[in-house]
Amino acid sequence: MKRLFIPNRGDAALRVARAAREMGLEVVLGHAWGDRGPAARLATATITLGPENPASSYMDPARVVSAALATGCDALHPGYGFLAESPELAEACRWAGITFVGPAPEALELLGEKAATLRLARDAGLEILGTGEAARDPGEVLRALRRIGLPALIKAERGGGGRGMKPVRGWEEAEEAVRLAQAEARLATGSSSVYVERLLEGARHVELQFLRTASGEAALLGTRDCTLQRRFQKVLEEAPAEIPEGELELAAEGALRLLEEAGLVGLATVEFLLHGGRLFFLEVNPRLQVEHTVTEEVTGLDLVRAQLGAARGLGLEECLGLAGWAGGGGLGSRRPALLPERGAALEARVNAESAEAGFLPCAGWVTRLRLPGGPGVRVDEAIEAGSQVTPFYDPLLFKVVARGRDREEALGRLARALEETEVVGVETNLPLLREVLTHPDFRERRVSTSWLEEFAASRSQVGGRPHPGGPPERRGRAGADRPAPFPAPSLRSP
Amino acid sequence: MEAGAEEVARALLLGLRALGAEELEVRGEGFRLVLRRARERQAPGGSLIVSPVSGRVSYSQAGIAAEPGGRVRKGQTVAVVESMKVAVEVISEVEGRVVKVLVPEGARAEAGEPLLEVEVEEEA
Repeated sequence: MKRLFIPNRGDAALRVARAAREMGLEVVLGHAWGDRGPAARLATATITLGPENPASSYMDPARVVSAALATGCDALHPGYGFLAESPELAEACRWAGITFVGPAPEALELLGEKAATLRLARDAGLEILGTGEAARDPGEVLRALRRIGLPALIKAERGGGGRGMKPVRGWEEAEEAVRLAQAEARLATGSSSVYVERLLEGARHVELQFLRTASGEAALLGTRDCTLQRRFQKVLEEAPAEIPEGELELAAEGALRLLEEAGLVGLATVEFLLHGGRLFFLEVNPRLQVEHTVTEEVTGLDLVRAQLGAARGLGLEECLGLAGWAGGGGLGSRRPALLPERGAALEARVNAESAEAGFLPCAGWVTRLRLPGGPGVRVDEAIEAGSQVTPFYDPLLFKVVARGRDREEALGRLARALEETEVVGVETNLPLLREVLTHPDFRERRVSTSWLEEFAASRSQVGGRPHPGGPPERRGRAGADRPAPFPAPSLRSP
Repeated sequence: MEAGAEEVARALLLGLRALGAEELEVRGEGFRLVLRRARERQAPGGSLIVSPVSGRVSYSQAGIAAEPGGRVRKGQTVAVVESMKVAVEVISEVEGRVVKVLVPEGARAEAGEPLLEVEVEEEA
């Protein structure tokens, strides 16, 4: 492995490029027109994949592999998002003789079928929230809903990342919800196949980070709590999660059996809902995740290096050594090996969006940017001062990560870091994030997956301004002031 | 407009919004460029339905036929604008008929840009 191709953008491309350069690899960045971003400085070469529209650039496996071949790359790291879980890309790399930094296409194919994965999880001893059967026929979906009861969630069989999900709370709306969910699923994933799950009110979202090598060895690299979400997408994450001891062990064993069954090699996150002290399996993400940073901060590991090691076929201890693990006492006989976590870490995603207007995306130019620093603070940025935030990609501007000896210290650091952060030019969720960090509900872990949306809604009403425009001190800045009144828009994942 | 000129115009529009200005006029040798905020074009008795975000506009996703004479109901989703992986539904506040489609299906709209001009009719 000498030259690594990164067909990605923003913080994902930068994160991978940083690890690769530190290991002495050459980096080639594949990007869409006018979207070079902060990773370009670390690249030996950059190549244009195609137009801004991701479907014709970042999401096109043929273009991506041709660009990797044309630039003489012998390995490809997909980052996260776009084609990170694409069996087509993994297959194309195999065919082209390029090392794909991620699982084999067969494993990606299997784990991409969410309902099939649910059945695997159930067989591995994990608790699931539905029947594990996907259906295209609306009548069949309704029958499945009747079997599991309401409230429920309809999910796209090939969905993920919050796409194609629809809650159903009453029987009178069930038929219409099924119709809408299937239409959305077709639009977002190309297939109208959906499955249903019980919707747990008051649950927390927790996840387990695994590394599994070609030798069949595996380690649990820690846990994360990603309960604060909007539109089923995470906004504020932390490590470690608070999970009852016995429950964590059972879940880790079951999750490991599932990963073995799927033949996964590399990094994988297994996601759960924590409700009433019990863990319910949601899905497997067979890739690096946006919030991997908090795990890196509490374990001291570089997860991208671990991935590169696994892709080269190294064993577990070699991979962990490459990732910076100091060792100490060996991994023991425990399966999966559990790495010690030190202290706590939190990550805040700073997005170009108006929390005051139902998290409405805000495009524009970032005219000035002041990023935080100081002890225990890390920034993974997707943009730079002078960058244009376009409607083509997600609204993430940068992530601020803070670590501490305990959660209290990490919280204090993150709050301080966000205080010294400034973004001028586009409206951001910074005011909301600052308020959340000092809110007693969050400080005392009294939150569930619906908390952030409820809090944002209550805070907009208190301000007496249900329509977009942002808090008074933000008005007049680019993107904050919109001409002509319009009704509060309704938002959904496409 | 050439592609380069369109980019310049978009940047100027964003600048206009940043300044909170109603109108911007640039005069140079052999050209004069005037940018005016959309609401100034609002015809009496008519109404403009604007996009709350910048992004790709789809009327077909909202299930309406965007053409002159087409009916628009109050509270109806008349367009879906896809911005930063979020589908933003544009809801009409008025009852009436479409006079003009200002941003065609599949084209990109800026935040605050009018999509449809609607002749307001009394609610039945």
